[in-house]
Amino acid sequence: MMESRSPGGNGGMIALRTAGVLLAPVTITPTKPLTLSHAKGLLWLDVMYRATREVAPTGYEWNPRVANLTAQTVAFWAYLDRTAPGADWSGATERELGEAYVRSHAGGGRPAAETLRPYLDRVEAEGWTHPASRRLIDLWLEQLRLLGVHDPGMAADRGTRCAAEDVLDRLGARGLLVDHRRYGGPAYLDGPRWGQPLRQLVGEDGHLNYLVPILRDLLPRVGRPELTVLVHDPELTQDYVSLERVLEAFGGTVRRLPIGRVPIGGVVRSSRYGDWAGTTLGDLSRACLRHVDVPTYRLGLRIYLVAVLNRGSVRSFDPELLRRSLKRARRLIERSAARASTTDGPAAAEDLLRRLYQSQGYVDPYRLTTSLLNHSRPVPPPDLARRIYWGQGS
Amino acid sequence: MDPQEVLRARLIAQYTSVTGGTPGVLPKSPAAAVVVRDLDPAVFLAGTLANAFAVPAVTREPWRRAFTRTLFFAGNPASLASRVDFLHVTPDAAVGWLPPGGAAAASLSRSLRMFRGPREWPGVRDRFLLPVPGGSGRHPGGTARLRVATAGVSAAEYLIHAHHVLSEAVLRGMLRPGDVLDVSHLPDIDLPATEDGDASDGEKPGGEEQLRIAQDPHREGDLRLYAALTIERGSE
Repeated sequence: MMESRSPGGNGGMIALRTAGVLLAPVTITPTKPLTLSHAKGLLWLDVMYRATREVAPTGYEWNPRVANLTAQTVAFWAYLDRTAPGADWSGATERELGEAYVRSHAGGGRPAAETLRPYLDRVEAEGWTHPASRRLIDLWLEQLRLLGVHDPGMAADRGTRCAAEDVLDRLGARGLLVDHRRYGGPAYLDGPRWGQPLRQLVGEDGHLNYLVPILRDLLPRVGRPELTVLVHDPELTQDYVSLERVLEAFGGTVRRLPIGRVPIGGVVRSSRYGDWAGTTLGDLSRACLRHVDVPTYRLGLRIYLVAVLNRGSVRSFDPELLRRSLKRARRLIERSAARASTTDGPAAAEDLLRRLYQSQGYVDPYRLTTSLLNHSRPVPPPDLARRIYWGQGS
Repeated sequence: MDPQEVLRARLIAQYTSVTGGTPGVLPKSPAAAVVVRDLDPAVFLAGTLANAFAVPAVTREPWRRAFTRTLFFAGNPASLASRVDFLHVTPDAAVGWLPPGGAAAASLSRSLRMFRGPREWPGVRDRFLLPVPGGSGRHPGGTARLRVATAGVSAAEYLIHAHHVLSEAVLRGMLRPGDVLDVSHLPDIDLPATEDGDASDGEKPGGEEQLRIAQDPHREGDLRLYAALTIERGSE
């Protein structure tokens, strides 16, 4: 969890119930290479984080523990230890790790709870991360540094804010749980009260659904007067609507932003099928950096994934659009450098940030990017643009 | 006589008496649906009785001929009250019944999950008395004795067995408002003795007992007596 204070202060202009923002995206499980869809989500969040913190206290919630406490992650680890016991993953490539992940799914369903439990226990007790996932996260961080993305703490494992039992007790006390554990059955979130389906949180085998670790971190924070922004894949919408309702039931103010994936050749498929080959973020950055410098790559990818493709876009990856975005990025950076001494820009830009913040409780990256980088406008003030779009990695 | 043979004969007699010899459960036979948030045996049994009395006249006979087919869902009745019309809800709102043959059960299957409770439950309990609802108190009814087997019986199985035996007894007029139900939960139960000592005698409509005999999942091919309801009536 990273906190930052707004350098500009909040100016006392916030006519909202909330004071500050907590960005709470779904945590990517350290089992696969970052794809273009991941890059879109991470850049979207990065622009939102950097822009919103200009005008309000902004936190960015990312606890790797939450992803490590899921069946998806520990099933991958169990597979690796079964098929390649004692292997040294420290030098593995993204491709090798990604292919192992695809193979781990080829065998079908989830392993039995007894197989997963020792891993979950170890994550819980020691904050342990399998070496293969540690290697993957290192590779992710390298790519994100290159892209100038603020690291929300991808390698900074910490205990969750409360135990699973606390989450279930709190939900139960609010009457939000249908709890049949005493009959040896599952425990469910009472989704029907919100028009959602009943959602299993604890299986008959005691296995906890991925929503429980998320709630372990978010539920204890919910009393703060901040806006919680849940960011997720559209495939998880039903679960995230339930999550939103739960946090609201505990007094939270919540916005929910699904971010559409970037289809490749018209197809959106889960990483487990391996369709990413050749289109990972690593592949893309190598291809881009053969033609452009690092600042242009950073801004160009942001223009493409944040402004050309809107948040909910379902347009397939288009190399031509990316090429044009990179070209536009290069022009903007050149023009911005040329007017580095102008003084009237910053006030106008800060004004824009405030207006966007007040209208939605956070600065919307699409609206900001299309406004700031609009052809008809003067180029953005270089300091601000650099801080938000092609700046340093912090 | 081999106890399994006796159980088999009783089961066949019961089947014949419900269906009149024609095939009973058809694909379109009505099913009721029960939404379960929490279970208390006394509350559940009382609710089962109240629900069976509340079944609309037009559905009573089709449901009886379908052996009171019922689906049990996990869910919170209070969260569904605005969308479905429950026929009966327990006072603690922990269990709700949807009428047999209604359309609501199909829509529930999309938002709810089938009840799952594999653990032995409720196990052996203290004996308790339960008034059969709807009595005026002026005409003393009979005392019915309900014995339920619990050894190795899971919560999910208990719901099914107890629900069948009471619903069927109400629909065929064996239990009446004002009767009192004397309930025992025991590890195992025996067949009630019949007057002439002939255990293979089939039950008669309006007769004095209602049994729940079903396959024992722990002993392949064997039948087991899960619930037995008997009643003594004063001179009427």
